[in-house]
Amino acid sequence: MVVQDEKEIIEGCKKGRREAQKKLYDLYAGKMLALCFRYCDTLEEAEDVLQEGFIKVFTSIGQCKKRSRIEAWMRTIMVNTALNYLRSIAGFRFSEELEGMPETVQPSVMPDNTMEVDHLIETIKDLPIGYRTVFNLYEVEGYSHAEIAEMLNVSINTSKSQLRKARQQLQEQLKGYNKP
Amino acid sequence: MNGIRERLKDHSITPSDRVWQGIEAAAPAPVTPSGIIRPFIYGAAALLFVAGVFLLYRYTTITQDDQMEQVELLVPAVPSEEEHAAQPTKEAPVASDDHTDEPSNGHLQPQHTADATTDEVPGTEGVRVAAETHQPKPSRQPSSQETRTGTTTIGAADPPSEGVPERVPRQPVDETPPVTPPPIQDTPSDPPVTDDPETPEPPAEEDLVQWEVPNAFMANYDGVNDYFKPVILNNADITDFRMQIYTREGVLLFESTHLDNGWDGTYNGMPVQPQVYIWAISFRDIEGKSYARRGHVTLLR
Repeated sequence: MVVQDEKEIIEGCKKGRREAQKKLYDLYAGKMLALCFRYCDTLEEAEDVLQEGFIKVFTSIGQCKKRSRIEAWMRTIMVNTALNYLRSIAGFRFSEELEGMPETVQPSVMPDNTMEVDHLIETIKDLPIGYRTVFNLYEVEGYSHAEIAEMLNVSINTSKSQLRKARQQLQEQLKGYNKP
Repeated sequence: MNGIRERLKDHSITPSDRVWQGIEAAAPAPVTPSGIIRPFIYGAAALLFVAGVFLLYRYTTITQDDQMEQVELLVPAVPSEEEHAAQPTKEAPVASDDHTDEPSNGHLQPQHTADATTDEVPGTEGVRVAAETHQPKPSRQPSSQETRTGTTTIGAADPPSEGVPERVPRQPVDETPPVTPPPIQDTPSDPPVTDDPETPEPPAEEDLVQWEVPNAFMANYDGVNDYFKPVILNNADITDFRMQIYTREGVLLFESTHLDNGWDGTYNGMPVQPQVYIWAISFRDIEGKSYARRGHVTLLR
């Protein structure tokens, strides 16, 4: 049912119908803004990225063949728009690559379900931009280190070390919260 | 872990209204379905534009040959024999005879008119005489081709036969000036006003009024050259002064009936573009002789 409606909406968007565009926006803007917010420092920046991302979506929706997974396609656009934005304002400031260091086994830092999502998001946002970005891309968006390396134009090792550091710092931040 | 990831992915923040407003302002609607149609539309638009420009050029620069050609086409051409044979009119047998004559007649008549317009001797056209007869010197031709760059007189260019030392700097009118000051008729290929070898030259007498017209002025409110007006060099008295300023397209921007009332480079109070404009000045001296001339002036800023 929802899928059918969404297909109609997408078709309408491909024809450039404003009401279809608004409907697609209403369906996904919230999630997309949350995504942007994880990458950006402020909500205002996140809204700017959201706006730019949706404009790209509506401009190139005609070329999107994936009618069923429009959300994933939109997320990709949003992530790339966010990364472009971050790159343009400050770059990612990656710390030195840790070449040759054995990868210490780190359990994923994802807290348990009891943690408030908002708090988690705030904690993620407190990370330095490099850690934060890699963390978002790897843990939430689910990109691989190889993909992340390409998107951020860094080495795979850098991606791995950034993730490691992100997890370390998050663990530190969340320790107090998780104490029973 | 996955639960958290999904929760993060499902997390939603409601955007403020300004986001959609910005999208609405910028997002294309309708969206072209593919990247092929838009370039195609641009290409078609470019073609139409080029075609339009070409047609504009073709039909606004009609030459003598074109005129004759068009007139010939308008002359009832020799109809095909079959057509007239079919017609029950007595034109049929007569047609062949008449039509053999007609083309030549047809040629002659339009030729006259073509000649009349293209000969275009400005001097022979009644109204132009006013502008022409008072062109002082016979040897205008070489000097009229020169481009005047300042208000200095053309002394060097004038042949020694000229009695008058100072001349009004010749402002060579363009080959096809589109402007049409009311008293002077405009024709398709307008030769320079002063370049008329066929007009009987008036006797070389000294004009009572020696005058100059600047060919450029700068309306920048610095107190120098802010107004465009002619200069009477020998302080002669003049009457019936009239000056008009036109754009090159013939739009009247300014009119003055007093020598001291110059043009300040505005139209309806608004400054106009710094470019070349046409002036038309006429007046009489105390003996009643009329002077009239047209020229260019460049407005600088």
